[in-house]
Amino acid sequence: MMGRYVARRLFLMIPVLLGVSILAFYVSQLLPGDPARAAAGRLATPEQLEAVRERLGLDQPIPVQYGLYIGRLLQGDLGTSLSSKQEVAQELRIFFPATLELLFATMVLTVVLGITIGVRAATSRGGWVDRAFLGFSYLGVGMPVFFLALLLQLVFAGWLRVLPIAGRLSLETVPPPVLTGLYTFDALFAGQWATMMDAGRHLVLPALTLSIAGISEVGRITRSAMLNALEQDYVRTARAKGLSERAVWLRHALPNAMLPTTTVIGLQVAFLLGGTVLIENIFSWGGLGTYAWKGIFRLDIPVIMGITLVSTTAYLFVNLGVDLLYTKLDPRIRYE
Amino acid sequence: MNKTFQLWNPSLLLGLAIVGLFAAMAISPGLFSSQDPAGLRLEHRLSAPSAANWFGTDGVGVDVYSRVVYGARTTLATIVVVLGIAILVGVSIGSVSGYLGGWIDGLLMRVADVFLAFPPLILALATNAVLGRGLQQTMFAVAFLWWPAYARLVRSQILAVRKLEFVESARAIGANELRIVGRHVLPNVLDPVIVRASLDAGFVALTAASLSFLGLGAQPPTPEWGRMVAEGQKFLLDQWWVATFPGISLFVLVIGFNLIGESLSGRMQSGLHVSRAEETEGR
Amino acid sequence: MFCSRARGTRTPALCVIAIAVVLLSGSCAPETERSYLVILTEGIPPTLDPLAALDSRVDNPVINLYSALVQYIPGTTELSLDLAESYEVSDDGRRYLFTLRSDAVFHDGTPVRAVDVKYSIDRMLTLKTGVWAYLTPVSGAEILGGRHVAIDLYEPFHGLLGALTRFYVANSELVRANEFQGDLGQRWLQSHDAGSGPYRLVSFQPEQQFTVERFDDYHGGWGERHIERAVFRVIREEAARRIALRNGDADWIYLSSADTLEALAGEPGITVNRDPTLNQLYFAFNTRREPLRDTRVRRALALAYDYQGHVEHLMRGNAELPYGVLPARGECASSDQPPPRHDLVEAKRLIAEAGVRPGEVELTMAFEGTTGETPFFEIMRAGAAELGIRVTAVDIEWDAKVSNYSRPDSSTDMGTIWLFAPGPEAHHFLYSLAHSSQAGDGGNNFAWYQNPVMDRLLDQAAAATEEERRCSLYRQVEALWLEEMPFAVSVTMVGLSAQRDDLKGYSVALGHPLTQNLYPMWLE
Repeated sequence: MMGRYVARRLFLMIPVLLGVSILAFYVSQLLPGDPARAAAGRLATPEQLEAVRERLGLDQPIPVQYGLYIGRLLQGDLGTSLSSKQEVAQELRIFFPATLELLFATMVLTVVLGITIGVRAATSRGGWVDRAFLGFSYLGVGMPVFFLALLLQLVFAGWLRVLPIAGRLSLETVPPPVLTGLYTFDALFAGQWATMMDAGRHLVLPALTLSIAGISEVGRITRSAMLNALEQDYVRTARAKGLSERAVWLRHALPNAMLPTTTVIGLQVAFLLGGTVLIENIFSWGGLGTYAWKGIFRLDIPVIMGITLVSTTAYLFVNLGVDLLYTKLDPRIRYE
Repeated sequence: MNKTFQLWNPSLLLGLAIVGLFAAMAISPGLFSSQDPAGLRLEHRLSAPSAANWFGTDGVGVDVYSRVVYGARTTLATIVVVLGIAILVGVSIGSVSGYLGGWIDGLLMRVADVFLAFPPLILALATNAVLGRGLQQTMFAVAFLWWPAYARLVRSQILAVRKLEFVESARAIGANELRIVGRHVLPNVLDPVIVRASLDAGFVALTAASLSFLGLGAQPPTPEWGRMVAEGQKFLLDQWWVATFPGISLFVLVIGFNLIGESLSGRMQSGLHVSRAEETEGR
Repeated sequence: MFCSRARGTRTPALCVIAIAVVLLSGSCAPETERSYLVILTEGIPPTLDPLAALDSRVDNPVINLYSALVQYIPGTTELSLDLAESYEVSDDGRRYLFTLRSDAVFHDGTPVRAVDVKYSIDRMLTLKTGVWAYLTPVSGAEILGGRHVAIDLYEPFHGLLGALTRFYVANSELVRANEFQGDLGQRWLQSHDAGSGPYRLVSFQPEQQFTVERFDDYHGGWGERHIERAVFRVIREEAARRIALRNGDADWIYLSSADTLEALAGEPGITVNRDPTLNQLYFAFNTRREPLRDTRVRRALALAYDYQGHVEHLMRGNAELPYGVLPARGECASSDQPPPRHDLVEAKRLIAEAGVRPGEVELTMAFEGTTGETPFFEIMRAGAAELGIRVTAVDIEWDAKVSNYSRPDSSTDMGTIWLFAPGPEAHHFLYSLAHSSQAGDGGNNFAWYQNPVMDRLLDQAAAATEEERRCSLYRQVEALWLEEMPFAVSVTMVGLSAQRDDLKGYSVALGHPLTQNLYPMWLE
């Protein structure tokens, strides 16, 4: 049943991905002047130009060119960066792990803090924790991410000097042997505690900045879902059975409150993919966001399209993952 | 329901006051500031807040207060245009899709899916790369992001409303389909759209400011808060006022919109509760 | 394991707090002695290809990784021999014979030979990019033996030796082995090192950092005090760089704003550097566009810029005004020539004379906001607004700007351009901008200026070996320039940076602005 559902969802993803790829292909066609020259670089020699023209099939009609483009995409060829002359796919492999690590840390903070605070606020409804959280959630949702980043840098790195201001590792720290490209994990697998700590410390400020909005959202949803659940019949029954309040919250109310929370968490991922562009710049993170930003100011369309395609695909799979989580969380949902 | 909803609760009033203040600034900035938001005075650059310059001056000597005031116009205009386009496109496509159904519905919703498949800021970045940089392009890029949400909302509302009794009876007495949509269906659909728009407004402001912060939105000399924060970044340690005032303004405006949006949606939800309760009781 | 088992709602929160405490406490560890230098820059070099060293962002790593035939003595404009052991000039001045030193080796151990010089020259002449802009009179190179090589010129060229300080010799065998589809190694050299300089590349992380390490077999030899290893790291925000310097996480930081420099000037343990440079800022006027086709409009716009305000207020005195069109420290520059003038009355008169009515004209202007050029745009915009001309912003990075200016139709109406000349010779400031051969295809003539009289004067001046005649020709170039105004010459940069007191030996040659030449430096 589940397998069929996944297959159906994957099948439904095809028209969406096709639409995205048509859009990306169309945009790539908008490059000013000769696309071969654009792809080969302004300084290309005539031989290079010819090689590129042949490789890209630029003498073919447009539909054939689109076919070739899809063929190249399926082989993992996202084109060549106009400014660095490197393959976009290759560069993405360098930049992606940095962003993945940041997103991962942000999601952990969002989920753990968001749910914890939400539950606490619900259980002490009207109390000081609840009120403090309500105030905080306004701050979290209204605060521009880029402004918050600057303030946190100023306070924690500038005045208190307890956290590094930018970068992924201290200079004296040698990057751990590459396994996943995520420094904290690689260091953990290699048993380098000091390196892992260092990478972790560098993650704190950017991840905190990115997660504030998510913590507020997740916290609010968890809070209201918990309150809603606590009014339900099964909770009353559980209470009547003489279970402790804590057991009622955690075993009965929380699992049911997780459903709307999961939706919000899934939505967060999409916003984070965009948010990294803002944050990576401020924290000199050197990930996908920096790469995208540079690409835009260099008018490097293959780079921008590469990032768009990769992040869109990633986002679609995250959505699928969230939907699958639903089945785990709520046995009432059946997929056909 | 023992709790009656307060129409003019304090958070709605506060929100309206905040947004109203900024709207007044946007409509007639001259009332709030007599200084030119693009008037360079290099000899007065980076002066601290004073009686002459309430929020100090920036890196080229322009009065920060007047830039904040005129910046309200940029931000609010962006919100109006973006939501205007998104609602117009979204409501039309959503109505067509919901009302006609069939393969047209399928096609339109797949197109909406494609747009929803892009992570928001990334699509705006890509649009910017193609259309070039500037305020108009940014509005367009952000509107691009928002219409599918309205299309979906309107479609689901229509699907719900068209089954209702009064629509069926209108049809039964032979009313023209267009009239049914215009007279009966749309008015019922617009309520949730307005609530959704008030909730989205702050978010649109943040997205547009983020793009400007990255240097992609409003171009100088247009006063824009996100761009002002970006320009003030390098002065943060000594001349804190350059980045702080526009940052705070954006923050306050977004909170204002959120207060309104939540009050309205709270009102609508309690309204729904009532009607649902009535429905069940009536059964 | 308090983090793994959730026993209550409080536990995950406690867990996060515990992690936070551990992470924060990590910073309290005593500072360890660093054995390497940390340099913070605003951006990573777009490539490490020595041919691209026209750009100071590239010259910075390349000066450490590569060697040239001749080089400036650090901190001066005096030339000394580097890879060359000796050189001779033929009687007609069109052939320079170099004898290479026998002990120079590339980082992979292969000796530097005439074939490498020949390959590097051929590579430059094929790709016609980067430092070629300063070496256009070069016609080719000839191998005359293992260590003997001749560089030939079309015409005698007095600036050759000065320009050769930016011509870095690459390891021909290594580059050839890494060519890709006939790109002459451009792709590979982007992130690899094929030089014979005092430092070799250890690692390169795009958009983040690169590390160099002392090359033991460097032909210049190593004394007692040197830097063993240096990390160049990108921190885009100036405030962040400043905090890093103050916290002891960096030894040298690049500054783009004079305000930060002035703020740091008083701090204990920190020295600020104001290095004179030959870098000039120009505003190109697209001479093929209406109404900029009219010299009066161009001159009016040049008069509308507030040069004094730029130097005194924006840069707080940390910039200089040129003499006429040449930097004060340039060859043939004479203090008799007035600096550029800000005169709105005259500008308005010219505009009226040209028949341009206020409010009628809108011009686009390209600039690099990411490197702090927005104020330049603002000053120009405000000045032009006084004349009733609207100037709109096109904020793009250098690479995009160059590609925009490759074709006349995609060029903006106006644009900023910084020229990082390799030496004080007047040729460098005038030829690459105003000669018609430098228009389009990546050249610096962003104005698309074409004037046979200007071309002839520039060619004659470049070939004039006698200084007096040369300077008199450049006077004529200058007069023509000011009359035609293809570019407004605005200010000469002062290189701004800050460093820790214990870093010694930092000095910049005028011909290598904004570089950190590590070889003469040491930490005390």
